[in-house]
Amino acid sequence: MPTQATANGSPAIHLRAVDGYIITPDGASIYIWGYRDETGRAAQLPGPTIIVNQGDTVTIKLTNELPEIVSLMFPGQNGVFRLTNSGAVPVGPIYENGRLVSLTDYAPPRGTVIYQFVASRPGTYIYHSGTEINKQVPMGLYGAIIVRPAGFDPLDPATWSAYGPETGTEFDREYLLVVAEIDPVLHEAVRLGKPYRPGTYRPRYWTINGRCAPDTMLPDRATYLPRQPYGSMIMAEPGERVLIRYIGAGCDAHPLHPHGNHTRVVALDGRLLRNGTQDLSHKHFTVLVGPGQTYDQIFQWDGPVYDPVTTPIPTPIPNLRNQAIGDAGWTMWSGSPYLGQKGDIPIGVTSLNVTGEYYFMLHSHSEPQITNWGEFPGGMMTMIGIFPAGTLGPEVGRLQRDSRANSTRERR
Amino acid sequence: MTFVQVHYGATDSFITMPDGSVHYIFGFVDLTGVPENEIFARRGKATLPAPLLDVRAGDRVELTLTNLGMPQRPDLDDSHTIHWHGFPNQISLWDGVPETSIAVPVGRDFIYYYEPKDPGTYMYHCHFEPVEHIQMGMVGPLIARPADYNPANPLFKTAYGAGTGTEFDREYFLLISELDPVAHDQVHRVQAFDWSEYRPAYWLINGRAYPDTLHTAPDGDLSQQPSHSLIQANAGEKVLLRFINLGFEEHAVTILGLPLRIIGRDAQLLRGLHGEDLSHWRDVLYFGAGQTVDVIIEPQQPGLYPLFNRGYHKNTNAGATPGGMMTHVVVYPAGTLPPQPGPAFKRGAGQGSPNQLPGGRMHANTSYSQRIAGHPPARC
Amino acid sequence: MLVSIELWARPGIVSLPGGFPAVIWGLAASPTAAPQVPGPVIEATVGDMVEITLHNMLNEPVSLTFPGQEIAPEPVLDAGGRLVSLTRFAAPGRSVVYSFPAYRPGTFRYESGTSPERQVQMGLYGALIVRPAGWDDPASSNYYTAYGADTGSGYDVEAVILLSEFDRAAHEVIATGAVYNPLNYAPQYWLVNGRPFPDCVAPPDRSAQPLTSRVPVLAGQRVLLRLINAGFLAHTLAFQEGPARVVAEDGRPRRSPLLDATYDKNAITLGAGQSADLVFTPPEGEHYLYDRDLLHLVNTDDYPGGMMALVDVRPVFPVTPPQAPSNLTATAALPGQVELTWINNAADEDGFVLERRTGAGPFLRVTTLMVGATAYTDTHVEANTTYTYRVLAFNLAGTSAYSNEAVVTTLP
Repeated sequence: MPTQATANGSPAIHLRAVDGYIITPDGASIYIWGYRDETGRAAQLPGPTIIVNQGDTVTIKLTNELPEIVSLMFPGQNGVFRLTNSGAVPVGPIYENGRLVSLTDYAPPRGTVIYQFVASRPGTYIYHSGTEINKQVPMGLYGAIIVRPAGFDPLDPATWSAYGPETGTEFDREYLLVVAEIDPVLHEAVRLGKPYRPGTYRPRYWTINGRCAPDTMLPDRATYLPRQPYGSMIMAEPGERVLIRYIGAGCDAHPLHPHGNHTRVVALDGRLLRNGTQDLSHKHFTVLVGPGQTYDQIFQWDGPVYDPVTTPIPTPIPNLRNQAIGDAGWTMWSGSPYLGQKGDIPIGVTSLNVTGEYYFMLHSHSEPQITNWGEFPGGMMTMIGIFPAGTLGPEVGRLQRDSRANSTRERR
Repeated sequence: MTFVQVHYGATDSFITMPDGSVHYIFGFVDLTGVPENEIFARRGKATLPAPLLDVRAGDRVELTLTNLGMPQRPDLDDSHTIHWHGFPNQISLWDGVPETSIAVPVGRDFIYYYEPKDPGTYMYHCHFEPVEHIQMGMVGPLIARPADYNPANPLFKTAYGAGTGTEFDREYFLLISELDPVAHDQVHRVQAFDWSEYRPAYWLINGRAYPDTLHTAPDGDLSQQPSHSLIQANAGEKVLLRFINLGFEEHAVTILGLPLRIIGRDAQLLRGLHGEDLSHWRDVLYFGAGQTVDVIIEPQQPGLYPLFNRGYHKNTNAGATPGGMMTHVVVYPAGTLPPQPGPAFKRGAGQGSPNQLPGGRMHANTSYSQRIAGHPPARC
Repeated sequence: MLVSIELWARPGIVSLPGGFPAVIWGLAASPTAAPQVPGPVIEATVGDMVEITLHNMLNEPVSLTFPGQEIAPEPVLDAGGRLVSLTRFAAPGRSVVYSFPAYRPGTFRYESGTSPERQVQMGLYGALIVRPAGWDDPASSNYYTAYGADTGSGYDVEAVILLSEFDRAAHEVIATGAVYNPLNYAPQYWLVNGRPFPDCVAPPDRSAQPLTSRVPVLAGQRVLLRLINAGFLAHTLAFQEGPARVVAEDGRPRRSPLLDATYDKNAITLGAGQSADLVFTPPEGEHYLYDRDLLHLVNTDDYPGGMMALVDVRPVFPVTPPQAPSNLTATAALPGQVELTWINNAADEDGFVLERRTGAGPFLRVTTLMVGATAYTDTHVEANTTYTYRVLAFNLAGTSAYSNEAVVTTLP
């Protein structure tokens, strides 16, 4: 059976559709439906990130522990089959009593379904439920698939690219940001088994990797966010090429704007923006992340390096009493305009700055989306930290398939 | 290279919609060149949009922000900042994000410094509690011209530099946004507003709703909304439209009868990695909050071409039609209008000249930023 | 060649899912034909002169705009210089003629230019297709291309996929002549070619919603989808079996002799008024296109419904319509519902259309059911009301005769 598959190149993944609760920074606890892998005890948001290699035959068993039928769709993957005792059959819409009950083959409650496809192209993809999708996907039944290009070796940085050598997608560090929004009324209705009127949809929370700011900036696998294992703090050193993968998993569009620099969008929906040698990539300071779509980008901060002795900041810095710092009692400011240096911070203000790094906000510019139920700050916001050269370890900014961070645990 | 010094104040004021309704705003007021003893008198005189910041690649730009406080909200001790949205390779000191650097308390000054390198259409806004301060009106257009920009030479009167195919004869900025009157009223009355309930009733171009967008005369009820958006040109001319979305919604903007050549986005010439020319034509421009789009139209026939939001329900003033996000493009026979004075914009106020109509008198104003040769003066 | 078309703008009735009538203002191709939503597809070939005569049988001025065409808008202003109409209009009972050259191929739309926030919502819009010269000449290099040779737009099968929204409350207000407030715009139905799912997969008919969104394709054929967003909101159409290649946007090819800027998308967002042409060669099977704003997959609050279309790829097409169903029975055993059963006499049907009428009124479609259906429970009924039901079977070869009619009076 596929779950027993062990050969490299045939990853077997077991996902369970289950329920659980996530936590928002304003103290709310929200009921979700989600996927978990063998390591999880309840639904996680988003579902486990599936990382496979180009050419792999990927087998995914879905066990349904929810009270209604659930399925998996793999938009952008072609040739998806369901494995049965009598062989593999192409998946497709399912009708019962003349009614469309699922866009794809499903697992009944307490049942299973096994999907298989060949990950033929590298890229960033989404997976989500194909059943009652107006409810199940907003409830949290979604996750990311990353397909590594042929030749990618997680141990050899020279092979790190999103789409293969000579594609302009080479990177030093990489981050995955899956964005979505939450209308808690839907979640509460599902929890209580009450009807929900889709026409009343009104999101109150906006998430990156299932978290609302400021939780977005907490590390991967923070113990106090057990069902929201993936952080989205981006960290890099000057000049490094940072691959940022956006996935729109919600129903709305989200204009994501990184401070610090533009990003070069190199691929859409898992397809490199190249036709032969012709390059269609383009730089943006705001990428409108549409629902169901993915965007791969290269970000590089290569700003001026000021030095207090040789190239001082050309403007006078007012003294502390003429500045507002840490209105909420905390700041990510180092107290110094110089990268790698720290300066004075008003007494009573906590500086979260570590080594004099620069922080740049990355956020939705539809600004109500950077609130938690209307309260700023919150929502779809995180930070890009630019650290002094040589201060970040090689483990920062890795999406690895076999570590606990940002990965799925696969049976091997 | 020019050393550019500008001085803006953060304060409040009121704006007027075509239905006569008055709305409280926060915003910026131009203090450039204002004597020290007159600065306090500019409190309560914010404009929507904020003054155009018009600079050139290679300039050194010093922007002093003075937090003048809010005469209508003396209780409010909010700090303010300037965020040059999209400035490449920014350092955090001048990025204007209070959580990651400093903000400017009431009564204080701070100097932001920029050395723009990439030409294009940007925007600036306050980043202190941005959902409130942006909606309340602390938003302005920002243009960085190419280093070789020369309005006297058609080959060098371009958006992105000579040889980039971005020559234009006239230019206009169109800063589009929305206005939720409930939010503005709640802020004015010192009440909390749930921003997840944001629901605009007015859709604006340069701080005005139709038909005020057409109103080229200054002053009157629109004294704090100095920028009309009546687009005028001669047949055969190339007109650069710099679209800036500082609302919170996506918008679909179209001009009936005039296709749009998209030449730049987000202050980047539309070119691929190897210089592939990705400029293209569209009938409807769809773009999101925090994006800018540079469009060139090339009207060939005289006439009136309506510019409007293709989301037709947004062309309204709190329910009344026509209104909202609309204006006119008026094309005259070739040779009718005198050349648009260069630089195109009046510093700190509206755009174009109110008297560009045939036979009209041209404004003599040619200053678009106070330019001072040499080095910054010493400061204490 | 002169393409001369006459259109009559008239009030009509559409059937919303559940069998609810709603007033529309549609366009009819003859003074006696049903006005339809969307209006008739206007087709022309480059080089044609298109002349359209609009006869206004409504009680207010009506006009048509042709975005993207070489026609001066000639807007109408009031004494204060404000727009009254985006273009010349016909007063009630009068006619207006528009003409323009079909100067470039593309996928376009036409729509009312007078009070469009009301009239376009009421149904005055349609698709305009301009084909390249030689598109139907096997000897031409433009043969079966959307944009001519070397634009990557060759196809075997083409389909218009026209998206729009339907706000039933707005229709009720506007139809009565009451003042309509655009701020209240809140659609409950999401249409493809004038119908929501599942009715959109039923065959074309002579109703006020004559167009289908089922795209029949033989395996191996290359499909051209002409997507048009005629709604007021952005829509993201996701491909269940993608990606497809975007070959044109707003009627402009993305490929020129200098640059191939076509690109693949698995989901494409179209802003209000935008169009895009996509080509792909789908494998055998049923593949839905669906609005990735998943909240639009409902009819009012009922899932599945809303903005979906079906690409139906088969090895062969049926050649004869299915046998008619028989023995339709209608039973009102419980308040608020009617139980319907019938015998399916076909082996090759794709589905069934169930219709009803209230008293002596016209038959309206209640719903469309997929293959194998033999029963349906109609829960959208009034108490103490007599309904007459009938059902037919359909496949790609056509529709069967109707079944017997079944009459039932609902319980109090």
